[in-house]
Amino acid sequence: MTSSNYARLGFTGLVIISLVGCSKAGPDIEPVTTDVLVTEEPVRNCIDRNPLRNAYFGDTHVHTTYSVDAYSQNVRSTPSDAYAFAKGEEIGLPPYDRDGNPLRTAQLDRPLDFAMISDHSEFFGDVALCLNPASNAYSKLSCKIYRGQGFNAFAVYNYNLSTSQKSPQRQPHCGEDGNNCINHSITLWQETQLAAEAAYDRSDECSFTSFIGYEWTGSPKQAGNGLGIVSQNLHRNVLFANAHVPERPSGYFRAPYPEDLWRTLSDECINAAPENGESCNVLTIPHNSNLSAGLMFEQLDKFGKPIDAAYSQQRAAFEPIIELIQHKGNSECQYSPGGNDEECAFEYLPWGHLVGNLTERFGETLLPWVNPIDNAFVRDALKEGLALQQAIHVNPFKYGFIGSTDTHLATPGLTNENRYPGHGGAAGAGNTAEDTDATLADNPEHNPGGLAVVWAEQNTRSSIFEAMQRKEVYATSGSRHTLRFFGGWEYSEDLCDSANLVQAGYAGGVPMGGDLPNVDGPIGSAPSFVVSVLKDPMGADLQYVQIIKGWVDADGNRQEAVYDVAGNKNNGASVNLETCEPVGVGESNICQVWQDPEFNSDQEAFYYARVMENPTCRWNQHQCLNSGGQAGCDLVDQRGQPVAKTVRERSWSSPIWYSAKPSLE
Amino acid sequence: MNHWIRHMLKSPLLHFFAIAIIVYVGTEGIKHSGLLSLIAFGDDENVITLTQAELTQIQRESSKKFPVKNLAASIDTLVDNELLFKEGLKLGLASNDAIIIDRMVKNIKYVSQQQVDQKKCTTHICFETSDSIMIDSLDDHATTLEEQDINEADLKELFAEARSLNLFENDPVIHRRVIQLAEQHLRQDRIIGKPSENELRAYMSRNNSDFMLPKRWSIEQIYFNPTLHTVRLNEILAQALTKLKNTGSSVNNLGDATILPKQVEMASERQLVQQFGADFAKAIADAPLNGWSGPIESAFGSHFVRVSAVRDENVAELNSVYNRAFIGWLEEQKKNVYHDHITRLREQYKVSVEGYAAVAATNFSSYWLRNNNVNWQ
Repeated sequence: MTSSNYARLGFTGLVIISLVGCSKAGPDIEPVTTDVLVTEEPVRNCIDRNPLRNAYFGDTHVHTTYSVDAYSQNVRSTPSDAYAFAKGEEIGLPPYDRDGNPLRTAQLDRPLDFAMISDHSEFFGDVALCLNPASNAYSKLSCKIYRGQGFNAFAVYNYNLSTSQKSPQRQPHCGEDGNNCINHSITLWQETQLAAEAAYDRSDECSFTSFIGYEWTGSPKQAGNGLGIVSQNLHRNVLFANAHVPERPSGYFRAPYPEDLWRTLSDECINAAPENGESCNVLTIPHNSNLSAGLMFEQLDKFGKPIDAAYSQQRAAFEPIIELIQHKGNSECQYSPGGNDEECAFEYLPWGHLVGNLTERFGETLLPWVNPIDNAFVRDALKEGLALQQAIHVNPFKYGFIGSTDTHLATPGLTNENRYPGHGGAAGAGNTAEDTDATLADNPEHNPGGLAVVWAEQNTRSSIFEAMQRKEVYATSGSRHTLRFFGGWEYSEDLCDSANLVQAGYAGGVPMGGDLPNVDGPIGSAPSFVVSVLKDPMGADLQYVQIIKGWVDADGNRQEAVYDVAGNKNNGASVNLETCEPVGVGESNICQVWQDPEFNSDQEAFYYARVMENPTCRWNQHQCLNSGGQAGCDLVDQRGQPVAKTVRERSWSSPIWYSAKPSLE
Repeated sequence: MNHWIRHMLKSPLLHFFAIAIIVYVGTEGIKHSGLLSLIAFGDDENVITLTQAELTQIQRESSKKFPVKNLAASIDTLVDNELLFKEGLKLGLASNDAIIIDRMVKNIKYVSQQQVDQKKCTTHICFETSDSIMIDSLDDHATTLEEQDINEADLKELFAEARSLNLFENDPVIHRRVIQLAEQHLRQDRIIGKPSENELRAYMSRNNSDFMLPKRWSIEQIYFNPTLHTVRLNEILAQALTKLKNTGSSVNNLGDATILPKQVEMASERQLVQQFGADFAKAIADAPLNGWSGPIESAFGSHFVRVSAVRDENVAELNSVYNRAFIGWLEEQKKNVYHDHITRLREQYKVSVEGYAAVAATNFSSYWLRNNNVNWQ
């Protein structure tokens, strides 16, 4: 391995050690270098390798003190701390006492299999400068705000991310050309890589996989609203396949449009020369389309022109999966009371843009109230994708589903409703553990977030990355269900009675995330889908399973249907709100072979499974009980509506796409 | 015009600021030229002087709800910072630092301007009104001086001026920077040779739990779904057990269909908990090797289980965890280096506060708290 390999890893430690070596090393003393680290992803043979694939549970959306909006809430945990937490260690949470001892702690009941720390890359340079007492920027007002102004820091810095896409504005201490911050961004990026390397198990034990990544945080202000800020969330988590990564991240200021992000990633990663036979590869994973006010799935490119096949191919290549559920709500589908799908109300945020929750605080003039709109939701985008498939022969919105938390407390995978510590921060101004318990942990509309589950042969970066690329992944609202979903033409009706369901599922069709072309099927017949799910062994029983279908009819109308295919949604299960103990029983596993009763072989369609648990207490009800009634009881949301006290945890398989015609993809 | 130019060329202030700006813009030049002017200063006595006001401020910030040991830690930090500051100056760490030189020039420029306006003299230079014009003029031409070198005498003159203005003590940016440089210096001030394999193994041994490979089990399991046998489950389980005890009979057709794997290869307890639940994992830990056990209850129903292989807990081989061991060792070394240095320095310094006896830095916080009626908890 050459020294350039080290530069690729870019460990900060090397820089320091190299200085020592230059200034002090004698002729017979060899200074340390980290060239000795092996960073290639060799052919692996993990001890639990399974050709039929294992379900691995992870979280790809995690913030630490390196994110401005975590630091400004007094979060002190680093990426290394977050990885340790993911692997099962306890972590300290804010608030902290004067001596730096946390007043709260958290620990997973089950470690994760994989995780990615995804700090906001835009401010890596700002963080490095504003926390360095020796920097010229340290004494600048913008840095003083960053270090000492809590919510104001959040507001001031996040405002940069809502400035014009044509010329986004940095903080003054970055200089007119931004180079002061750009140059210093490398430090935190290197530390992010180092933490990931230290956490990654490269042995054949394959006990834990870390991914190197960051969040691209563009959320431009909608035009034409005067002072009113409508921050349209376009955020994406950038996940690299291995340790071969660009020298610096591409944040909103470098790449203000998603096309710019993909272009820079193409230039600096996809098309970069391999190093030691290892090629750079990357995915961008959008999230919170529910808060995009429709911009996430807008069918215009950066120049305002309708998206074309080239755009769509690029988007589909970079974005095979989307984050469906996280702290800031469920992006599956638009909720309409009395509508086709009541379950769209699950963790549905009542506001429609990124900072919509702050309208009450700042007023309608500055932050107008915006309701969520239909085309901000993934199900709607999937249908639009089918229409685009017909029109331009490429589907840019062909998304598989994952969940994650978006924790700003460096707590990946902490999805338990009980003891949810909040999206970030110190849960109010508590100075003692008792004060903190008695303070509502979060906005009542937020939730503990979800998990990303992948079907992969083994727990390695390459195996999981490939699973993400082929969309053989699913999202959960935090439970650890085991969910298989296959579609094919040759499944027998009694497949659920077979001891070899999984083998038959792969052999006779495609798994979740796959394409089911009509050319493979008998003329006129409908494909079969088999859904088989196991409950979370430490969670509630299952209640029922649905299959959701979307299509575009002959008149071009977008259609959808929700089918209850197994289990019993009226099984009488409920929750004792005085104790949060479940009442009634459900199923430990559910399996069903199903055919679409209204299948039309000429219509493009997608199908995905949704698995529902029996009801359990929502986090606010747990906090109500845990705090002796001091916080979390009988809440109302910002629209004055009562906040649910119970939830049905759930999983969503990635869709299977039936294609009536060949695709250009 | 000519008069103005002649006047400008003769002005000592021009000469001084020419030097300063060369230093300011020529930092890269300094680095490239290899000039390492260690301009060290500071008194010989290893005494840190603190004021009662500083200590009272720290005490005031401590609220009753925080234990005294935290107040002691805050005082220790104050002492350490001043100790680092003195060490930094003694070691001449400021002399080649772009940030300090930049800050010095700005400060001197500001003070000079004030004195020009007031027609006063600094230690070395007297100012005239027209000099302010020269300052601006020199700034305009600064970039043309970028690649020029600087000699050590000029640099010393600049530092002398800064010292006479007490910039190192009074400018918070310079003060903090000296402390930071000293801390960085201490953290780096040891050759860390490439660790031998034995050193890394010793590190792994000190951090045993981080490198333990968990016990693993390979199992074969037969599943019975209670919802399919609500009435006859016990009878069916008994029949299955009979068949399993008869070594000659096939077990292939026993049990109910499930997507739980029939065979699990080398799963850790964590993986068994994840897949089957905690009770099942515990039962596996107690199950005999190669015989059928059961029925064992899981989150899904009843199982008969045969443990086909067990791998005991053991320590990982270095080559399989090299990166983790190396990075962990490196972090440990860095912490140790700094801790050793700061401990040694505390032993070398005394702390003086007006009205109190000078005491060793190591003991200062306890001395101070004892003499200020703050009781240990």
